[in-house]
Amino acid sequence: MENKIRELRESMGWSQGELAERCHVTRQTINAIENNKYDPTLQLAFRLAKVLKVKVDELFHADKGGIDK
Amino acid sequence: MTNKQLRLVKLILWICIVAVGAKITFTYFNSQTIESYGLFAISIFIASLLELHTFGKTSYLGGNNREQQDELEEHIVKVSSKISYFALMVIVLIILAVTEFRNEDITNIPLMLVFCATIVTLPFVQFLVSKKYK
Repeated sequence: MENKIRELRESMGWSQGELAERCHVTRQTINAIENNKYDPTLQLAFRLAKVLKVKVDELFHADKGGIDK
Repeated sequence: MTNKQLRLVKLILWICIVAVGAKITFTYFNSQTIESYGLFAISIFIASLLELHTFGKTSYLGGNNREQQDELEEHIVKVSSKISYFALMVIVLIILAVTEFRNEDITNIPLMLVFCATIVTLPFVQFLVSKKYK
């Protein structure tokens, strides 16, 4: 699953730590999601979308391999 | 736990590991016996130290259970639990093979039972958990 979190976070001028604090997770979690090493749970995906003021489907999109799986 | 406290706890754990390790070695060379309590204690200390390095907290030495687990932390625990289960199965098999390879029949029945339990436990738990979703 690919995402636009880094892009949106940087446009808001937040560090990974600041976004992590707003979403009640650790900076490592945000870093892993941004680098596509970890797909968040639905709960966190919605929280991220709310904090970044976008819809979930704007934030995440399946990569080419992922859509076939 | 602050960074200073974390460093202090890690240092204390290292001292405990070295001290207990030295005591086990000393006892072994003096009386050719292995202190089982010492082995148990050292495994708790090593597990705690590894947890502290990984998550910055430990569940063995009275960690704060109320503290909510981070999502990535939960994921790491889930993935490593699965790997650990199969690693443990292989370790038990190796110990069984090493201790019993000279014997025609297996004499260490408890270890054989443990090995059989490692084979059955996962499918059994999967069966029970799947009931929840039916």
